[in-house]
Amino acid sequence: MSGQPDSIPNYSLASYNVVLRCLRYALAPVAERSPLDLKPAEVAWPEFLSIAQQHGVVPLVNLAINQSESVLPDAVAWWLSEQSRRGLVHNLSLSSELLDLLDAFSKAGLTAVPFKGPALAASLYGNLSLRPIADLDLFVSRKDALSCVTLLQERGYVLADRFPGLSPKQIFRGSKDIDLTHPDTGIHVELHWAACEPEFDRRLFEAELWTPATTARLLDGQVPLPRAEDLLFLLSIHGARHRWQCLKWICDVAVLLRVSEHFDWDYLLERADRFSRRRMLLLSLLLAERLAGMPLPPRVLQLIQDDRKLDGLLQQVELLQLSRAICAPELSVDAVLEGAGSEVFRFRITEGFGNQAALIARFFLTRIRPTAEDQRYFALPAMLAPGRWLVRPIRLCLQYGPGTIVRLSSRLRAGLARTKSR
Amino acid sequence: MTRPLARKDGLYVEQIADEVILYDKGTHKAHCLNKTAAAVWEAADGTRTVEELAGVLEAKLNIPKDRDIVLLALEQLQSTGLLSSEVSAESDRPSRRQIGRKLAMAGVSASLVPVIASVLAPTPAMASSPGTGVSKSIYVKDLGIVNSDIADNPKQYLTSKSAQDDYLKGLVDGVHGDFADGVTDFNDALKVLGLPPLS
Repeated sequence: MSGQPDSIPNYSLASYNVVLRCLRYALAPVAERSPLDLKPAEVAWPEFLSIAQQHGVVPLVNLAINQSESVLPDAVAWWLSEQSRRGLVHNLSLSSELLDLLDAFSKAGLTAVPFKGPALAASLYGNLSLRPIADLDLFVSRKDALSCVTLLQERGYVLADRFPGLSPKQIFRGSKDIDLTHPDTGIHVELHWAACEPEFDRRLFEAELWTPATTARLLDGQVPLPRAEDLLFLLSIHGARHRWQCLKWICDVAVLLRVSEHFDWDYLLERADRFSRRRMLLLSLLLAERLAGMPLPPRVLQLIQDDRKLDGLLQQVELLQLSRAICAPELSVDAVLEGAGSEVFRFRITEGFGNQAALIARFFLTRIRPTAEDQRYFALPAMLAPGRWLVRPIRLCLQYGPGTIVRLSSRLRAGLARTKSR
Repeated sequence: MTRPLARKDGLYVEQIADEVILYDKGTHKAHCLNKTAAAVWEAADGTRTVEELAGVLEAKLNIPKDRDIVLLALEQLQSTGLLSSEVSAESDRPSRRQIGRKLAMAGVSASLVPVIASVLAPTPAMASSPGTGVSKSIYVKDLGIVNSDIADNPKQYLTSKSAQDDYLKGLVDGVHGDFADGVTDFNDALKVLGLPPLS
């Protein structure tokens, strides 16, 4: 890693780098692996474990350590295998539910395409135990979304209270997904009808990028999947939305590149260019190369070299990953500053003056546009609808008060000062 | 029971390291079988006798041919609902400890005593924290075991003096005991300040 602040202790950086070494070992084809050469006494184990857990790569680290026959303290070996075992049980349960849901959707004439989760674990890693899964993500067509929600509700799922007071129509127009939880099993399902929020990219929000093109075997069933190039593009969007703060997302890209035999780079680059998202795509490939050790074709390396903004983005991702992994408040970027950092990241990853201007405009517009909450606060008849634009600032001022601006700006100033002092 | 038959229907099978995990679709229970229990479960196809199954264990795992070991595995398979046929109870059957001792005497690891652990999955408590698949509380509790082991054997874990000092001061308990909540947008920043999201 390059450009890390001096105040991050050497052993923290060493632990992070050992995790990366384990990932490179686990992801490399067996014949091409260099020895892992892990010296137990050199690793700060709890920190190493914590970083692996935070980044969702415990099973891959466990695989690397087992296959390299590294010697570990007993408690560490126990911890790794216990976490991997529990993760697998959890994944089996989610996979079983995914197959049931896909069957139910199919019987109702609805198409759902799983994203990440069990389908990705089975199709890319070839083993459900190697990829931690938090919930079930399903892409559905916007026109089918309401029917899918109803079907899930009939199966006992309950809508999360993320959009109080909004009608489904309003939710579908302004959001990218909706989440439901089953109260008996705790299984969480996210139905996506867009690959990103409208604020992130309006054109990507409106495109349906997950056309099923192939299937993958999952347990005793088959699940639909988009073609590999589309999947990589979707993973790039997802990673960029979250600033690639989890190593497991980078591993997904690396494994996808490794297992895809005839990767159509022309198709992928054309797709990225169509949405002016080449930089976003190249960043995902750069991360897979630098952090997960995945070789890239010379043509892609040249494109990466040609985009000067990518180095800065890579450093931002690395710093965020390390700060987040260590969880040390005095080391991590200030939480409020980090909120602002995500907007800066979005801006930097966006190409073209027009798109950047649109991004800024959307940022402000989505925050000042009147909402149902404003209408509830002070109901105006339809003929006076433009007046709602005045209601919103008044309501927000009264709700948050001037103290919020003072607190927010002082946190931002403090965070910036800390960052500068490193 | 002359030729035991293991249940294979309604189960998903996955392997992890030396263990086999069986997930029961009907009951949502998962069963973790160690090598010996897994070998008996795989081989018990209704065509082999108990003695023949003992032969399978000998050939596969180098375990001395002993019907008591097979019967212990079958008993556990039955009690977890993984056997289609019945195991007859024998009052003079050796205990698990006695079998462990028997294996140790024969120079075989006691970890090869058949073991099946069952867990119900998932429970709402297992509802995972982002990106992990394992709940935060379980993770923190388990990491505590590693930390207490460090307190007993610090040199085994850390050669760096500053790292040892930090861990032994208990700093790590505070630092690693909690996940940093991801701040991904403006509303998360408001949440950090204890304010409601912009609605």
